[in-house]
Parts: sequence; structure tokens; C-alpha cells
Amino acid sequence: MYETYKKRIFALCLRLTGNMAMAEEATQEVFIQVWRKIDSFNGKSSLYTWLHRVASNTTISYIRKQKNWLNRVISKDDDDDPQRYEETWVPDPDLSLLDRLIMRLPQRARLVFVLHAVEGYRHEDIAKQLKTSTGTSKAQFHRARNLIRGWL
Amino acid sequence: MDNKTFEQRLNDELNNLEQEISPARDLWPGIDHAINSNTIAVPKPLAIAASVLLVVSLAFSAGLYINSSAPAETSAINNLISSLQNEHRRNKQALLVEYENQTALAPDWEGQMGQLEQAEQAIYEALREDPENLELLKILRQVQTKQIELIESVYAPLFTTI
Repeated sequence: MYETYKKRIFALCLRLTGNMAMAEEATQEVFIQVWRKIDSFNGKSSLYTWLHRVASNTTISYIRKQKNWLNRVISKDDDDDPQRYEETWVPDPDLSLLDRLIMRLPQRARLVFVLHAVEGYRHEDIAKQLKTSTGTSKAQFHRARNLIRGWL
Repeated sequence: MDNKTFEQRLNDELNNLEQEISPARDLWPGIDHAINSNTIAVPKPLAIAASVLLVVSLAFSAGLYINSSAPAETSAINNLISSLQNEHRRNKQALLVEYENQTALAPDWEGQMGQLEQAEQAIYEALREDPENLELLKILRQVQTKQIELIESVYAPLFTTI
């Protein structure tokens, strides 16, 4: 399963985390969780649909843990400060233009943009996954679109 | 850039996104280490209540299937089944080594284990023929768990009678 899906899961993790090192750790965590939860796969959806759901949930949890740790260290939530991303963002030349712009998005806007525009989740489902409201999800999506529009 | 041009450009970019991206390093060793450091945790000991014959007949009459999986997915399920089997054998062997100097409380336990192993083998072979039969996969896991529980119950029971 790892050999078959590792690149697809890594692509999802990379887009959600916006960071190569975090994506590698998140991908590992995804497959560990898959191993532990394989009994809960009931066959109502395809194996990849189930794997995708486990992957997005696990990666979001992973990001939350990392963010909590970062907040404790630097005592500041920089998510609403796009300028910070402008300063620290280093484009990866191997990625497509849109992937490079996704990496550049602030975290919350990136999560919603990836889940909605790239992965096709509805805002209602994204709101549940991110423990927020549908309105907030839509607002973050528009924020992401506007940022990308300005960068294109 | 006007709205229409942006929409078109964004859609083009989304359609051209790579579905797969390769990680820069091999991530498997870390996953393997994490899985294997946790797999010796054994389920709670319970009485062996399941009838092996019932399990086998259930296995062959089970009817839940995944709808028309792609070949890559079938191959992934086959790999998963092999991994589960290998992992179970390693765990069982590790337990038997752990208890090798202790006396079994039930002298006939090896006969029960033999029946469970026969059931496991029959289900495993059926799964190899029909890897998309999820009910078989579940039953295989149940029989494997029963084997672990049997070892635990004869070597390390929760309650002992005085």
C-alpha cells in the first residue's frame, strides 16, 4: 500500500503543510495511522477514498500539534501575517507554479484552498475537519484565491 | 487580470497539478520502525469461544466486496494481506519466545492452536484468490487475534483460580 500510494499521499501532505520536512513527517504519520486503523476500513468506499480521508485528518492533526508547539516557543500566531510568508518563502523549482503559490499561502487559507479547490471537499466537510464554521471556510478560500490572483 | 481570465488560468493550473510528488528521501524505515515498536502490544485475553468451523464457513460464504477496484488497488490490498500475515507471524513468534520457559496452563492448547492455524491458512488462501473480499480480511484478522489471545490465556491469564 505504501509503495502504491506514497507519492499521492506525499503530494497531499506537502500541499496541506506547505513544507517539505513537515510533509515527510506527516506522510509517515499517515501510514502509521493507516496500519493502526485498517480494521476500520469497511469497504463502503474505495481503499484510496478511505486512505485519503485518513491522510487529510492525520495531516491536519499533525499541523495542529506542530502549531501548538511553535506557539509555545515563539508565543505568536503568524498565520494572519502574509508578510512573514513573503520573507521566509523559498520557491522550489521542481514544483508547478500553482504548487509554489500554494506553499506561499498562509496556513489556514492554504488548508481550505487545498481541501476545496484541489481535493474537492465541500465547505461543510472542511468546516468539520478544521473544527470551524462553513462561513470561515468560505472566507479563507476567497482569501487564498485573492492572494493567488495577486501573485499570478 | 479580469475575473474571467483569472478563473480560466486558475482552472488550467488546477487541472495541470501533479497527482503524485516524490518525497526526497525514503520514508519507509521510519514507518516500519514505528509500526514494529508497537505491535507487540497484545489484545486482552478472552476465552476462546469462536468455532473454527464456523469461522471457515463464514469466510467462504462472506459476501462484502469492494466495487471494481483498479489493478493498482488490488495489488495494494494483496500487499497489505501479505504484510498482515507476516506481521502476525512475527508477533506470535515473539510471544512464544517470551513464554518459552513458562508452563502452559492448558495442556491441550496446541490442538486448539492447530485448528486456528488451519482456519487461518484456509482464509488466507481464499483471500489470495479474492483479495477484494473485505469480510474475509476481517475474519482473517479475527482468527489471528484469537491465536494471540490463546497464547496469552494459557501463559498469562488475567485471573487465576486459588
